[in-house]
Amino acid sequence: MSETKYFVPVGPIHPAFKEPFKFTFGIEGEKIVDVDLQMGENHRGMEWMAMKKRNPIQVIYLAERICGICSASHPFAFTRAVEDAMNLEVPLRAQYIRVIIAELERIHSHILWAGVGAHEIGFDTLLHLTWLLREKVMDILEMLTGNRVNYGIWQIGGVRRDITKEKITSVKRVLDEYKEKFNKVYDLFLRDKTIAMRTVDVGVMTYRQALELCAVGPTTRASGVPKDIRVDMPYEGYVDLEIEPVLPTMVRDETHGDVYDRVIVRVLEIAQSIDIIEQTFDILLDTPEGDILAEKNIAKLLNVMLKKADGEGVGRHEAPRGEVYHYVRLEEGKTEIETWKARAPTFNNVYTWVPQMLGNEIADIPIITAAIDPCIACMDRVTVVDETKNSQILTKEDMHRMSIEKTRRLRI
Amino acid sequence: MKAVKQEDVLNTLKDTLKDNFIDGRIKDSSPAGKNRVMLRNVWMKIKKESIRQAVKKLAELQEYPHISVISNDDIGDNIILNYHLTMNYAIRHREFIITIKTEIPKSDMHIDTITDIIPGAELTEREKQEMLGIIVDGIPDGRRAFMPRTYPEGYYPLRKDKENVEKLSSMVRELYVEDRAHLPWKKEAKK
Repeated sequence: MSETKYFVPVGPIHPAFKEPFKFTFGIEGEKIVDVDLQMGENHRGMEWMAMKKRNPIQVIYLAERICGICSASHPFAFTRAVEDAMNLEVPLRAQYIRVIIAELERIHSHILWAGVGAHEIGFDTLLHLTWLLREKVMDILEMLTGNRVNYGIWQIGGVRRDITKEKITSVKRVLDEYKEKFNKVYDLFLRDKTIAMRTVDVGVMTYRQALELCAVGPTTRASGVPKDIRVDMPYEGYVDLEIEPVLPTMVRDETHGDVYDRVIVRVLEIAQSIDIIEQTFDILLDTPEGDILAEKNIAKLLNVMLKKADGEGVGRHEAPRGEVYHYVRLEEGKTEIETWKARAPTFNNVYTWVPQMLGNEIADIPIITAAIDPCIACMDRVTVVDETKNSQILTKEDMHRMSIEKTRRLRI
Repeated sequence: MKAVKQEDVLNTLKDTLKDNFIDGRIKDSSPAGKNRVMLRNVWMKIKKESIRQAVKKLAELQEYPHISVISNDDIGDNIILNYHLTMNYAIRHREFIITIKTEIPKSDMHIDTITDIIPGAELTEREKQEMLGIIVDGIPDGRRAFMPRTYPEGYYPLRKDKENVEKLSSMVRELYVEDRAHLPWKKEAKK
């Protein structure tokens, strides 16, 4: 064990994420003994862009662009906040369509995450397999909404496109395919020796730490806290569905709160989402065709209803990464929103990196970082500085290589 | 975990805070689903001195109330902070949101921290400090979280007062010129 403590900064540039961050690790030998987080290198000031300048319909499209992967979750929470402020009721059919799009997004997001996680430990064949699988759900989303990302289907008081019977049939066909392939994905992730070696008892967060830090989404469920807004506080179409929060104990005997548990939760949630979509389709087929918007005339919605609205509202949604929270205040006589607060799930989850990282090795940094499902492109460079001021730059490729070497070492 | 009722939360806080409790109500959301289920959320307004007392009381009702975020609203002479907490999480169909409103005058921008009761509130408190110039007393880590360290003191991006905004825009321009001066294309432009 070395007696010198080195500091390893990781980051900070992070192109696709609301809160880009920089880590500074205190290292003793290979062991992480100190973690410091710095965020905001790429803060875009989106709340400022919207406040007093844009009307709620314009903000929907801005909210979609907060995150390229959560592009259904932010508008979902935002429209719910505006509807709460206006006391607007969403037509039943639109409520179910919202659930379907949100769950399709969860499938593609979790598959994407699974691929990234595999890549971080040097299992690139699995990355290619999962991302190939993800293409199909992107195609469905394109068929239903017109876009692969930034769906543009949300509207205040409903959705912009209906899902017809013919579309349901073709989506069901793809879902059947997914169900067949799910067993393979399950085997590859949860019965594989390499993945178990690199993830079991790595990046542990206990039940108590998860409660203290108010962690959200799969990150908190992997520590055994059954927090899931779809179950605890159901909204829109989720009210009529049978959902149970996914916990690691469904596969393992006990909860460890490690990276492996986060893999379990996300993999099982893919199957859960498929089930939710099928349940929703059954209800949707029974629901008579009709309105998908509370107010079809957008000019009336904007100039009469939103202008009259006076009040504040909150909207929550369980995004693939956890709870999305939006707060909106509208003022009478104005169409522009007065105040907007958008909070992405990672805002609550970043602090959970501190207990997860401590005591682990440098080579585990990539997989622990990826495990809470942020965008991990931030790790563009690492500088190792020692006390004699000699410095050496490690690129992301070097880190990745170290990670792969650790996998190889463990296999021998 | 035992579920808490909305009315109980409101009454308990009213009894505990006494004069510092200004207003409270339960708001129904728009109906959802076939059976037209409504969510019932609690909204209340209290004086800023008793925010710690209020959160402590909630923590007695349920261990570690979940804090979603603290949202902010500049209304001229005062800044409103909304503490968005939730109770009864992890209990099927029973969770609800509690929004605690406090008003902070711009002349005295101090508020007590709640991080010793809910450690998860630290990041959002740090954000309030740098974005609005609120001083959170007793925060364990008061450094900037999102704003760059080169950003000058005394300017707050989420304030809506006109004076601040005008200063801000020209200041951003100056910053841009200063900070990018070392870039080669900028040097050429200067020549």
